[in-house]
Amino acid sequence: MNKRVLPVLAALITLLATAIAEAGVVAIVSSKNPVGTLSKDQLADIYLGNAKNFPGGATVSPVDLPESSPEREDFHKTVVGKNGAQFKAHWAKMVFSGRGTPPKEVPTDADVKSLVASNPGMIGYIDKAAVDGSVKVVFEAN
Amino acid sequence: MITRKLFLILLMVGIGGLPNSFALAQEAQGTSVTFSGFLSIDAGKVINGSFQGPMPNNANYSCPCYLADWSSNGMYSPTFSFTPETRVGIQANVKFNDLLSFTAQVTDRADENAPQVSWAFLTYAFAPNWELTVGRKRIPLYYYSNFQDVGLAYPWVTPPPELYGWEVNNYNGVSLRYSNSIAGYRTTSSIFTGSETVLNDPYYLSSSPDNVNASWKNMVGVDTEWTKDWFTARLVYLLANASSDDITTGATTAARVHSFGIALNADFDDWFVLSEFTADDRAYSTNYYVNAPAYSIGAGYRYGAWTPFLNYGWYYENTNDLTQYPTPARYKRASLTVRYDFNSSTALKVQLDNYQEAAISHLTGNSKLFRIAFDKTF
Repeated sequence: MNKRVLPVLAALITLLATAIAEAGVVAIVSSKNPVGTLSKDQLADIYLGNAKNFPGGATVSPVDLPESSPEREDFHKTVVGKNGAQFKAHWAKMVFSGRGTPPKEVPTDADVKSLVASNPGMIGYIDKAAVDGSVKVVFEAN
Repeated sequence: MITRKLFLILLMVGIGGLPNSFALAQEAQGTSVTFSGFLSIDAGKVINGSFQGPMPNNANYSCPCYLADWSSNGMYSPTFSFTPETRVGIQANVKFNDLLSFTAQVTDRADENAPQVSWAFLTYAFAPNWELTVGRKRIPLYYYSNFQDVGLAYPWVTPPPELYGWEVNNYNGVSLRYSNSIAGYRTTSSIFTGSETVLNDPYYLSSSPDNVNASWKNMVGVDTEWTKDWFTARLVYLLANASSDDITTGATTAARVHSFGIALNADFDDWFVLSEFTADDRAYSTNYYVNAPAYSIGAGYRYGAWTPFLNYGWYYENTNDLTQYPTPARYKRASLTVRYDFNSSTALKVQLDNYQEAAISHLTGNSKLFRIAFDKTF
């Protein structure tokens, strides 16, 4: 291999690695929602059914991706702090104690975005790369 | 009979496999309806027991025997049976708007003739963090009381009978709940009040063959739960006027109940420890008391889809009058459960119990029990 190519290759790899690291899951609300940023704990409270309102007082409905989704696994593990079985057991407790219903599930990132964009009472999470002007990022890991 | 029919249908639905999380929601003018449910098919048999022949207090049952569910008198015998603990529940949640909803849950047990209404209440979220509920609810006496029929939500086949299972499980009344994050803790607290009467209460069948009606009146209780990271603590205190009315003999009892409970749980990703201590004190109108401290402590380890769990439970009644209360119940139990999760809403468990009672108890004798359980939520 040409020695001059190596630094270029290394730079490219670094760039790619940085891009991968930066791409990640972000929590979003509708661009019409006045809420600013949310903390990890506030998000966990919303997804676990402990908080039913945005910090400003408006009712919040969380949206989830299906169990097979890697974004869901990432979000639940890093933000909510529960794995699949723990999350399900927690919601079995909540639902059958009459304390709420689990987050609504939709099939894809695109469904999350369009639902959240048109419903200021909803919150969801999508891949950072999919964010556009219809939604607003309220939480970003790292 | 409708009960059996409903039971069989849900059984088939449960086994046949609905989607793991199904929410049958109907949107109509802002009102949405969500159905959910749970199913536990439990089966077991007594491997061996120290009593042979009729159960001492009720000759309608024969030993060797093991009483797994006090509330419904779910009793295992040496014959492998699905009846003592198998149960199914279906719940509807009607959301009228962001503030007002209605929740109802009907539970059907294989050892009871008719389905029971466990929940039927309106929730009014009148301010952020606050909820007012009116209607029928379960008494949140212990950590698992609210969802003690939902097998998927805990590591045992059923929660420890040393604590769980009294003559009354529900109340009709009012409760007020406040939930918030305080100093990094996720907290929820409630105060509740109400009353309940149970006719021909199966709870008493372990102590006599008579028909007994039971009631808890003027119930007032508070509970508070605090969770942070791996740690959860819950405290509860309850007061009630309990009475029982033996229809067969005409005998009645009346007692003031003071019940206190504390649960401390630690949940690391793999290891977890569940512990609960309770004290149920009853001061009877005929000038004697019975107090019953009880505890349960258990530890488990999640190894992929497998969760082995060891538990030790202890129950010990004290009284100041052995003439009026000649056979205080005193027993201990150790169990080993192995749970396997097929997916996040379906699990299979196998459990062995070793139950030993003090000679003064004279209830079912010592016994060893084998159980297998299939749990599902949908």
